[in-house]
Amino acid sequence: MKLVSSEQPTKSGAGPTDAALVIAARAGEHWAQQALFMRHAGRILGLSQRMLAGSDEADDLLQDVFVRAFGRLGSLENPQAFSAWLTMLAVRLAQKRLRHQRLLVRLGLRSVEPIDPDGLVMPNAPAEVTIELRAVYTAIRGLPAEQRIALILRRVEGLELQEIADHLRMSLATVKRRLKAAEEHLTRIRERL
Amino acid sequence: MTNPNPMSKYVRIDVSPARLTRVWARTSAQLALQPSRLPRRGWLLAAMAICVVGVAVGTWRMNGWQSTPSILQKATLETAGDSLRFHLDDGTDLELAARSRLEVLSGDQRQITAVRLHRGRILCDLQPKPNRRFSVYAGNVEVRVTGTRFRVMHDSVENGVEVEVERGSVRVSESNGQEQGRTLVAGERWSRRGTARPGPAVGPASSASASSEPIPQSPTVSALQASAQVANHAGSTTTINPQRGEAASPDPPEPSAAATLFDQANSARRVGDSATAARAYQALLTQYPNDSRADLAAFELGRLRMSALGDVSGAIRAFQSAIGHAHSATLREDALARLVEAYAKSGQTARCKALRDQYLGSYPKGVHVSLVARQCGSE
Repeated sequence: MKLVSSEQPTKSGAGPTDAALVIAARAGEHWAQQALFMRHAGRILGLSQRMLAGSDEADDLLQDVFVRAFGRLGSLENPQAFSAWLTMLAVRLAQKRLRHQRLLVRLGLRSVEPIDPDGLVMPNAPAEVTIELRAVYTAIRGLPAEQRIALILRRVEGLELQEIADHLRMSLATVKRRLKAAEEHLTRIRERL
Repeated sequence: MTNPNPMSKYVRIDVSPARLTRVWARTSAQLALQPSRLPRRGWLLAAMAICVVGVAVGTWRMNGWQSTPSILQKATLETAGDSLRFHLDDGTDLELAARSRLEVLSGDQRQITAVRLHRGRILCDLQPKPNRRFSVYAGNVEVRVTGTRFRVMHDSVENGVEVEVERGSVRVSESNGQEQGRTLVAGERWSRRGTARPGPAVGPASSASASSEPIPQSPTVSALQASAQVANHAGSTTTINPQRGEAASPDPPEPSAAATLFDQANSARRVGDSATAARAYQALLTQYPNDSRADLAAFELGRLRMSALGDVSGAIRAFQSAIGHAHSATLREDALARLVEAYAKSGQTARCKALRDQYLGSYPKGVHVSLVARQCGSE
């Protein structure tokens, strides 16, 4: 069975809450899994694409996130926090995927991924945003996975330092260190563009 | 606090339904291959933990627990301001209208065979299948189908019932000492005026315990026709001849004006006409401040003003009204959370913080805790 339509529940209260769906999904209800997917997949897909800067990889990451999430629902202590928990899982899996890609490139088993910064920016973006996004997506090509994710979360997603630390399960000091290195690289890129 | 205007919204993303559906198909297939990770005991504990989750617009409740895992078995479903749709594994589509209450009498998510509509309206779309059995009980009326699309409305206050068939056919019968079976085909409508007390419940033996539950009093979704009238496909109505022993047909009562305003507002809101919806909600609040829908009307008005109409001051007044009128704790919680958000948007920081602390103190595990905690700036 599937829940065909329900509005986003968390703000207006329309439809079953995430907590209700999580409880049902834990009990193996396929329709609840699908409802959770349809409710959150758009957001996670967008985040995945922004972190990975690649459309095909984003689909794989999205699938990976939900398969892992439904396999680990039992570990989610607060079902109401499903959305935030899912986001953190997506960030960590993206980081893992990028680390793996970088290793394959170093071993010569994979070529460097092409990123098209111009193609990533929407045509209606303000000029200063376009310039900044181009710089960020040019800079991330040369960054290790942890710095890349930290930079995207900071610059593109607009998260605070503590939020980044929570998402990456790092200390605040480590996040600051990684961001500092990423920002220095970004500054060098900006000067060249 | 998170940057309210992140650059993320300017990154080109394709989240088309087709793409999501494609990824879900792959995800679902992968999940199906995986063994259940939840041990049996853990599953039973998880299943027993299923409880009432009250929300402003949709509530799930388990009545009793069976060994077969299914959230729909013996479930009671209740909607507030919006409808709820289900698609079952056997191809059945059910849509429970706003302010309706439905109890699953038998069946589960694979196939439901009997439901009781305590109040409101349900739209049922069933695939024709041999030996198919599906019944909707409303009051002492049973609507039995094999493969069809039809609506049943039940005014629990007046105990009136109305059935309308869009496709296929249904069999309508009453258990009131004058068992009358009638088959309705596509385009036909049947209704019965309510009596002061409902007759004996109709249904299979398994519904006996459900039928003993008192039907809660509730505002009507819509007034129903007062007589047994059959509407033919062309839209004209035919009153059944009383001399043949069938019910006479006094004039049907008009839908209440408050109900009409509420329905108009909801319809306008659903099609994106926020201004019209807001006017109708406001009219309901002004003209019928004691109507049972006033709390929801105020809440929806607040949402529209804040999100679509850019009237934060008006939203504050509406949410305050919703809190004052609220019949349910859930709506009160939702309205308070939204009021905090509205004060934050209006820049009234002191008031925002006071209400934020009130929310967090009153609902430490509320569904809006993370949203509310982020409002009003730092401590």
